[in-house]
Amino acid sequence: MRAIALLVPAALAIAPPELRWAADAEGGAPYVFEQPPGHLRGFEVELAELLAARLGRTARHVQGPYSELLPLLERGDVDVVLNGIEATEDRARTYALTRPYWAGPERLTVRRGDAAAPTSLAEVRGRRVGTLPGTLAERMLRAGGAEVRTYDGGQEDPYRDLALGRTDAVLLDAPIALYYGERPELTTLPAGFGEVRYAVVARAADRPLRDALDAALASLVRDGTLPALLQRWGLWTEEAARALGAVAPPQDGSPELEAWRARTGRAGMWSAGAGSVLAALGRGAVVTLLLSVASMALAIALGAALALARVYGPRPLAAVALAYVELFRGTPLLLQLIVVYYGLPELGVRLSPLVAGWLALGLNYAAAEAENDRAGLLSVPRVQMDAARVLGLGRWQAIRHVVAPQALRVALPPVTNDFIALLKDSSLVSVVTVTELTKTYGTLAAATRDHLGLGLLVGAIYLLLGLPFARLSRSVERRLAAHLEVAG
Amino acid sequence: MRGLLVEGLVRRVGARRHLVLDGVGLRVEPGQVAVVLGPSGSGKSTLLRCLAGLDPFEAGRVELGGTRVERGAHALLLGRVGLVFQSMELFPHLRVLENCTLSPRLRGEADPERQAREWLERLGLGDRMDAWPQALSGGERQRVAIARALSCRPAALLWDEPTSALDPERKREVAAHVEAVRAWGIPQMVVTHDAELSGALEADRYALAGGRLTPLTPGAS
Repeated sequence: MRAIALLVPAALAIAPPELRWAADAEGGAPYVFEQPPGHLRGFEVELAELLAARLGRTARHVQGPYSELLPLLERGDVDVVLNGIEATEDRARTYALTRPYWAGPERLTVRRGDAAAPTSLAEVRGRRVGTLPGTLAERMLRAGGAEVRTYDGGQEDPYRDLALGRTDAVLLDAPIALYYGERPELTTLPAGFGEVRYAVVARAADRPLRDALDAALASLVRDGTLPALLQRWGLWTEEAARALGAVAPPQDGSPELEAWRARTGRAGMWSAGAGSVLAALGRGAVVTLLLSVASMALAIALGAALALARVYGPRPLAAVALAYVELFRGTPLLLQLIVVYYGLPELGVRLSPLVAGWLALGLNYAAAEAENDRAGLLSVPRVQMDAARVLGLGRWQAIRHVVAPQALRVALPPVTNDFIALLKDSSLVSVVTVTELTKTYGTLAAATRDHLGLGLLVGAIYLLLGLPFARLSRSVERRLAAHLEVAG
Repeated sequence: MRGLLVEGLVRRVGARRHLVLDGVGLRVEPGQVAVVLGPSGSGKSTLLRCLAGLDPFEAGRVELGGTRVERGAHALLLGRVGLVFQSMELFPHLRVLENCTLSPRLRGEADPERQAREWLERLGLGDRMDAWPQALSGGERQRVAIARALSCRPAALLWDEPTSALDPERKREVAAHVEAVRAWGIPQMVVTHDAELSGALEADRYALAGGRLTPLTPGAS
């Protein structure tokens, strides 16, 4: 290990340092999305690469759920967040924000032919309007007295609900409306409302990096690179011209926007290419399966120890085990996961995403397994223990050879259920940046706009992952119950 | 001495330190049988649990095969005293032979099966060694329990209500089993309220009442 540690600085001296930037690929176009699956695209992907190049660094994308991007930055997992983050005064007090790299209005999208649809902010009062949480659009809607619906699952969801008639309109940043708000059943109104500006976010203490990024942005504006980039994605606006202090780029036409619209015109789960869709789902399934198996192993081992402590341990130990079970059974897994990943670093414990996910799932399910095992241990009459002790078996020998094998028959059947539950709960680890099966689904669905077909496919994969374990446990149960079949 | 000697055994239980055994004493020589009669609640099972090493005692001593066990050291009796439980308590997840070899095997005996097979053969279970306990009759279960206890070479064998779990016609066999064990020179104590069993045994008889043991047979100490 020491030898490797000595080699690392030498390697860093040769390879340029990385610029780690956080963004959620499930958010979608035109910011950061996968097209084809496994391949990142988006105007922010290009911007991150341009900025890194001007800094003499290489850009490395770090995937995180949108709501956790700033915590990832604070945790030190990334150097910057670059993902449509609004430059607000609140944020400028907590973080080091760069100058804006885009500015533009909010846009209102309604159902085509809906005569009663609101056409301005003055008309949203009392109407159901969808948007994304924590945005300028949400604040404007609340100020306007709208009945606001916010969506955590990505940019497609508010428009889908609008198309289905669950809301009356959607108010979102112009880029989102441009890419998601024009389709056969929806139309986006030409008027814009307010102005939102996007900035790159660095840690407050990291002003040198912010200043370097500001200089890089200025040079990208000066030589016309950034305006041209925005133009290609169809994102050039008057507000951007003012905020960037740039003149309109010469090129007209937006090939990236046209390509997106051409692709989504024939949307469908295979539109991204069957091979790459299946490969992405396969990778997600492997992560889900390995994580679940490893977490269950931890849960079973720790659960058995907790159950033994509760039933046979001295009183203080039994009390500790009881407190553990109550704590982990009585609080949400999601909370535990976030505390393990984002909270423990405050105590100096920094875990990698996979280890944090494994630990949180394992610790949580250990409480359930402890209860199963305890029920098993209590199902064995205490006098069996006496019989073993009288024959000269030590306490642990008696537990190991007499009580535990009988307890297992009662404790095992629920374990299968728990494993299948864990398999499903493992989807929560996407909040700590692990891209498992459900997260892969979200990203693919955002890219292909096919929630149903992909959903059915991913559901089938979950079923297939769980089936072998259900079979395995049935055969183990049969073996454990062999001595009962001769009864009578 | 090679027999079983109990002197002044005192046992209190519960938060109120209720006196269950109040100076119990008796002597059983190898090849002898002591029958302890008493109604339920008289402290019979407490006496058995103390002698088997499962429960502590507050005063008195137990001497077994030449080893003296004082207050606080009751665990020394575990593995040295055989106990045939009223409910047999065979291990349901182990076959008949495995029930008998578990303890010798864990003690690291060179040939844990030899002794067990011998006892099972002598008790007429030679063809049931691979059976599961659930497949046995009540009488067979009791014989497995006896073989299991004897496979550990105990210095004494205790019986807890040995006829209570058996059919009427099987009850008579118990006396025969006790006699068979007597022939192998092991001191035995039979706790029962079955007068018929008591009458069928050539034994010193005691009554347990109020935590005290009273000899019923002239000559019993």
